[in-house]
Amino acid sequence: VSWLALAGVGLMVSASLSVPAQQPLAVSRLRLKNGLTVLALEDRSSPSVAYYTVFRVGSRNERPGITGLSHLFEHMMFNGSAKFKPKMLDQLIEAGGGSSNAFTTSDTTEYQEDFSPSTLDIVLQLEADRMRALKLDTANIEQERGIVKEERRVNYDNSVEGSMDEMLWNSAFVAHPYRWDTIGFMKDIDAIRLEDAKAYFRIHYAPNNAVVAVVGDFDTKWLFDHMEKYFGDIPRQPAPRPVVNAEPPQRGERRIAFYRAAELPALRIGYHIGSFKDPDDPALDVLAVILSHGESSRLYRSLVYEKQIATDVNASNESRIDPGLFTFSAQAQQGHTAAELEAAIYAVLDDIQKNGVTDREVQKAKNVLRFDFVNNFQTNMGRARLIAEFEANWGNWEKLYDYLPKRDAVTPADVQRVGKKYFSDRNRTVVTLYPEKQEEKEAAR
Amino acid sequence: MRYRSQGDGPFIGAARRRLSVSLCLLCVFAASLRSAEAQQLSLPPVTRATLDNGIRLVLMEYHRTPTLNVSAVFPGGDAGDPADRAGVAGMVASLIRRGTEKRTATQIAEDIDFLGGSLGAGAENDAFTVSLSVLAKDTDAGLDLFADVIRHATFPEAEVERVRQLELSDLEALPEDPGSIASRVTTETVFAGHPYGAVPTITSMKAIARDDLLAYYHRFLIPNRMILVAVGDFHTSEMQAKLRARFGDWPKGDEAALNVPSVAPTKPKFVLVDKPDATQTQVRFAEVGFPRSSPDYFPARVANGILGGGFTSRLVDEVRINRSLTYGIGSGFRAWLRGGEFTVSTFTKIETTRALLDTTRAVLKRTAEQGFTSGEMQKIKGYLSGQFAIGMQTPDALAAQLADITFYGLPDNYLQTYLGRLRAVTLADANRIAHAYFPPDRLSLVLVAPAAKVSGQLKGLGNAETRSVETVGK
Repeated sequence: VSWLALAGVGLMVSASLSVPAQQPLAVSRLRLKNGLTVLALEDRSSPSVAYYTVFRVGSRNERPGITGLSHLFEHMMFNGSAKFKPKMLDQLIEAGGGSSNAFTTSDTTEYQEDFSPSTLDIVLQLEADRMRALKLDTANIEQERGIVKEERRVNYDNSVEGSMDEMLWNSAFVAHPYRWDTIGFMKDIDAIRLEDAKAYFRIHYAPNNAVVAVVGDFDTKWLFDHMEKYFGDIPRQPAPRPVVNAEPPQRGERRIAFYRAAELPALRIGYHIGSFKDPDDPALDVLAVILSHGESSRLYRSLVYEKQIATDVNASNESRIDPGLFTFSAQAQQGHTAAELEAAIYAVLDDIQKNGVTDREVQKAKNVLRFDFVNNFQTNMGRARLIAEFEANWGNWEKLYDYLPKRDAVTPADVQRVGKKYFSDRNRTVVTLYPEKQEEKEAAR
Repeated sequence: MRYRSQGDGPFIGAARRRLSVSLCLLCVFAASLRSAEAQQLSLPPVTRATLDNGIRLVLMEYHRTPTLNVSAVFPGGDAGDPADRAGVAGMVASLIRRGTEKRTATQIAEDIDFLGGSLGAGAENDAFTVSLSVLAKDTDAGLDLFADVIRHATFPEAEVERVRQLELSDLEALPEDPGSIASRVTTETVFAGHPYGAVPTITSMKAIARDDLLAYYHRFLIPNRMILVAVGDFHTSEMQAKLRARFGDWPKGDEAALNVPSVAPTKPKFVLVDKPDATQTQVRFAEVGFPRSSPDYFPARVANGILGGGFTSRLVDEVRINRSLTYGIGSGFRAWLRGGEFTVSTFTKIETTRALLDTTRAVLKRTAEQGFTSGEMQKIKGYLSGQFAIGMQTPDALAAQLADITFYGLPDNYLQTYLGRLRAVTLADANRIAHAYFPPDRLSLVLVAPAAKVSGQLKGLGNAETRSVETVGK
């Protein structure tokens, strides 16, 4: 019942997308007068259409007291609008052979729908109506509040992994909203008020704050005509207030002791880095692959294979719109401590800082990034997501053509340089999990 | 995230109340249904061939992306584990890429990682699968590795111990994760006494010897048992030649039969796994279902879709949307060679455990007793048809379907006739499934929760067999 030996496949996040250089994409762009950007890519090879929306809003747009609002709002987008009663969106899309989903990150909120071509017209009406006039009332917000609190319980409060990741970001940031997770704090989820949601909707879900991508079996002229017809008169709104990055430079290591019910020790480490537009970002992507992609990676070889102190170790370049973190996570094997994991990770980083990486490792990383990128193009949804995210984050979907060349240009010297630049103890936050065994907790009561 | 789907994929049900929309919208709605149902999926042609040593080749060209997916499927799976050594197949899967006659574990890792792709193996109830995924330009190097690990794995002693320690640590950590505990205990409960219920434990993993792994490998990974599926950016004749060059001279093995008994229904049980620190109760309802070859397969997809598949299913509608009792609820049938299961999965905060159980049971009971409407039938067929087309976009999904067709002996034209089979399901068929599988009193119940805090809510549900979370996986 297990896929024990499958090598990990790269997570599809905006920071790890890349492009098949041999196939220019025939994407058309429409900009409505109200600022809505629409991207269209026809592909008749599958009788389906993907409709993808990115709103440029996430938990970075929140403030203390309303943490989690972006995500709570994501849920509320499915509960009816002026012309469509609650539940109708899913009923219409699912009956038309489709499905809908959504997710929220610190930087964006993204909606995805996949359906049969003949459902496209009604989807445009549904989408336009909820962008124009979402139904926001007390019953609606209370319903989703309860559901989101269950989501927080299952993915954070009752998850060792989720609670450790949250604690790392809680601890690594002092002033920037990246301090809190997109799920928000439980008491803030309780405290969010209807008027918070209304104000939020008006500014952040305005057409000028959104990008729509449509990919699949449709006619572009028909699509653009109907986008104009359904979305054209939704009013533009003032630009959202810019997020202030007041994060002061870190001036010393932060160490967090984290006690909770668990079986084995575990560790999180985060180093402050730049944004995904920082020129160092490609080298950090390459470094993350060299450190932890596959069983040949530096960290896997040292911690899991040779020292046999970890069951799992991961390095990740979590660059975002504002400066993010380069993170490490590791889970101890039985009989080993978080301190051993930490020392072994530092030994690997020290070695890269002193001796650099090989040409072959850098080439391997480029091959991995290319493979992950090409796989994004298999589905209409994958293509829609790619072009919508690049348009939303870079202002132009064609920037995705730069993704691979920028990574292909990375040299071993670049990798060593960014390793030296960011992996210093003063720039570091460490979260150590001290497991409280279940029976010990019982005895303590 | 908006939701996580559970159970057997995202199926949908439909509205139980009249849709209150304008007439114009209803027209569109009906039109989209007709179109989804009328659709015929056009897929690339499939080439099938059998090599002299018995290997069954299944090839499909896929030119959307410059990639190659290859899977080798062998019967055996976890059910081929010796009775007291659950975990052998899983260990073989982990170790198959940890040393061959020509390559060390380190070299294999280095070689596949350098290609940027993936090479892995896994075991499920009946099948053992090795999979390769690479860019098409790396076809030769990828196939060389793939053939090497399948034909020449050596199971070095030191690697066996490494993998054993990893597995033991994972089992040690198991009590951390309420969802995994619930699913595992459900499997143990529903398939008690059957190989499908024999999950690896710390005791069984410690008992496994290298000889057990070699015995499994030589018994099950033989050409005359192998199904070899390739989907990718290639010309069929060239791919056939490449596969023949790497596997054509592999001598046949001794094809001793594996006699896995049919799964017998078990009496419903009630198990409470005590996890004192949890702030949420994980819930599973489950029972024995039917084998993959059963005529119930398509009717069950339809019935389950209406009950607990997609976002408008009865369970999601009532438990999540109307009552906010959970973030996720779903139901599903899974079907294997000798039997299957039906499961409902969900969770809620401790305080609303009883409300969740009662609401879920009420939906099941009402569905079992009253069945479905013709409107629901029409909508679910539209949904499942569209989802099938959307799902068949990736080479992974196509390869998995093609492997299943050969492995379970389904007709060669299964993919082409899939939509017709869905359409052919009648209301009476779906109602029969609901009547047979959904009555809540038939279902075992597994809860993972802090026993002291939740027990007051469990009155009238029968005596729970209570066990500590620390006993799970031991």
